[in-house]
Amino acid sequence: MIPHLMLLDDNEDDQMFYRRIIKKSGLVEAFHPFIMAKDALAFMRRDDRPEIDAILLDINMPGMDGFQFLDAATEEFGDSFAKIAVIMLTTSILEKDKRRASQYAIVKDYVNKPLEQEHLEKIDRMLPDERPKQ
Amino acid sequence: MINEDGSFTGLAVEALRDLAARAHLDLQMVPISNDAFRAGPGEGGYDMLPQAGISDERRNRFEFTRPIETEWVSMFVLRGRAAGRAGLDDFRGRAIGVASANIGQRIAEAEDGIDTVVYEDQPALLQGLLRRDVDAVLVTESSFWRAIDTQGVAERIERLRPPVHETERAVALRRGLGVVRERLNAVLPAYLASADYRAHRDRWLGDEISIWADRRVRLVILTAVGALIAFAGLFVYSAFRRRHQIVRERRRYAAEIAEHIPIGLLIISPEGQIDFANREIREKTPDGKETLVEGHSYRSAIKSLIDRGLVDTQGRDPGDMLKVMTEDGLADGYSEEFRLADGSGVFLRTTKRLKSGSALIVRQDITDYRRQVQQIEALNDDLEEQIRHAEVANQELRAFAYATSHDLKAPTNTLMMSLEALAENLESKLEADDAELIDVAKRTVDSMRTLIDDILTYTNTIGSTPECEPVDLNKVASDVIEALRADIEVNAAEIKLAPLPRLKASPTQMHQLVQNLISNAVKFHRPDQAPAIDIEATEAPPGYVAFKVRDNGIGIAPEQQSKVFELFARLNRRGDYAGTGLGLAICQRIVLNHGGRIDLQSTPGDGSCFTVLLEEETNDPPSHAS
Repeated sequence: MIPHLMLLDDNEDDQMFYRRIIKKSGLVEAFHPFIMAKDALAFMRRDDRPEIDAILLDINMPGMDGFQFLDAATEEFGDSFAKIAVIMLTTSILEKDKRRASQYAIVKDYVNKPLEQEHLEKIDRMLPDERPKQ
Repeated sequence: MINEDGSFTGLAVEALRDLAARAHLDLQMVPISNDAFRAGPGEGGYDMLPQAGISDERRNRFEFTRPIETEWVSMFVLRGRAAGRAGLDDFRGRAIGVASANIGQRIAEAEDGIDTVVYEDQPALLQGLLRRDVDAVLVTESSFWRAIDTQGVAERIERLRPPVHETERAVALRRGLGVVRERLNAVLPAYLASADYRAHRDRWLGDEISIWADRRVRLVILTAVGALIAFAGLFVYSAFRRRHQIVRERRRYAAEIAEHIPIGLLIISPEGQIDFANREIREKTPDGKETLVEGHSYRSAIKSLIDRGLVDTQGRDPGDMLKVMTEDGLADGYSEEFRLADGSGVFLRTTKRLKSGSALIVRQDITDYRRQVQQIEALNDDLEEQIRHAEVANQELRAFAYATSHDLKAPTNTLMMSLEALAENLESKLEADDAELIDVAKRTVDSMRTLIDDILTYTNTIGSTPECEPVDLNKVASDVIEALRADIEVNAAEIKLAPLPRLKASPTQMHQLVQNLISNAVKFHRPDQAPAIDIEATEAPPGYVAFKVRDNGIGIAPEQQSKVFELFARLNRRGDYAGTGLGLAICQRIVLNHGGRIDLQSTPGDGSCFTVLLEEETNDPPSHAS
């Protein structure tokens, strides 16, 4: 079970399908989707925000891209602003993106788009076993 | 001369005695009278006279051996009374003393106008002279000197020069003794040169002769030394002449070479005068024949060239240019290129200081060399420009591929998700035909995504210098097999993996390479046979590693084998075997990136074998232009 999953992707259509998959999987308790990185950072600054278990992060975004978001969040909230960050790649080819992402301690995995239920299951398995699994 | 014991002696007697001994003749000496002496040897008289002056008159009466002595017949006077007189002519009308039977008597009597007084012998003749009975005497020198010495009056007597007469003396023999004469002649030369004869002469002729002998020796030595000096001088002179000739010839060669060598030579004196300018420098300097003249000022020559704008000042002030060329430019080792203003000549000018203080300027015409360098540089620039264009094109292609990835891939993802959501929503309501349509749409979108991925993969391998790190192909193969597990299981493929080599390569590209080869081997199986695949290392030349992937699939027809590595080459219907036609083109590209080669052996219906050769350590990045 993933208590709090945050998602950052600029494609609103895709967001709809992610929500669908997440709901259908039944693996996520609370879902926090953002289209703009600055909105996500604003959410993280809130005092009453929950502890974030995992972040799904798109790289190619207008304005602030995925890496810039990682830099900004690390600088503002420290290395462990979430338990896991998973990079979503449009293609599996771009080595340099993978290499760059691996330099962040918080990035634990990559998934290739489109997001599928098995990706969520994998994230769930990677989380520390704090709560009984469904 | 008769000794006290009655034996005979005297120079002539002793000489004859020696000669007779050497000629093995037995002689008997007898005394003779003056008359007998005057008569000479002859039949009925005596046989030989030890010595007699040779004359034609005597040769009629008896015979002579070879000459033994030269006898001078000279005038003697009392010392200080010569009064400038020298010859017999000067004594005409005066009394001349002669000795009886002496050759002097004959000579004096033969002259007209000479009052001759004849004395018995030479001591008497000397007494006559000393008493002033006569003004002078004419007598054979050697016998008269003997008389002078005997009486100890040498101080008072003066001999006049030159001798009046010179005659040779020899042994006189009566006719009919030719054999004896020849025997004496045979031993004469050696005897005259002998020490015995010299000793007799010393004894009988005394100091006079000894001095004469010393003089002769000295003369001989001086002559020898003189000859030696003359010879050495001649040798030195001829050596000097030869050397001089060689030096002159070398100078001539050197001058000719300096004049005609195709390198400009100019010598500037310490005073700044042109000492020498060869043809090359005169001809290749504008108006050089008028300006570069020996004796002219070098500075004026250069100033005229610069003032008339004939020299490219390379952006400098003309005054500076003049200073550079005539001051700094005359320092030893100075070297600079300069050009003519019209571009017709480029020269390298180097200065060498000579010992004399003069400056030698060596000027090489490098016009052609510079032109060639310019051509090469222009070609190089062209080439670099082309490479740059190719690189720009490559970058554009990759940028285009990246744009394709994001801008095409994202919508296909979205499209795929929509189709899946739609199928889910309508799952229970769809007719079978409609569900089939949605499946077709999904398959099409899926192959679109694959195509986009393959194009991306390919463009990523173009022009990228692989970042190499140690790669274990065993791990790569295991990872690939794991990734392809679903495919492998579906097709019931059996894969045998033998130990593979390690190398330094791009891990991503190695993964791609092995994945494409294995997935092809799985995919192109015969309909009735499960794929059996062997992966193993093979032999490679030093510095390379090699492995092969062999399958038992459908194989490739020989005429098509060369096509399989081409872009978008598909040998089968899309419906039978999925694929974009990029897989092996990507493999080829990766192998080339790693300095290697990929080969195919295949028999249709029997299987294919791909052999990959890779550099153990990729050193040279692949060409950017490829």
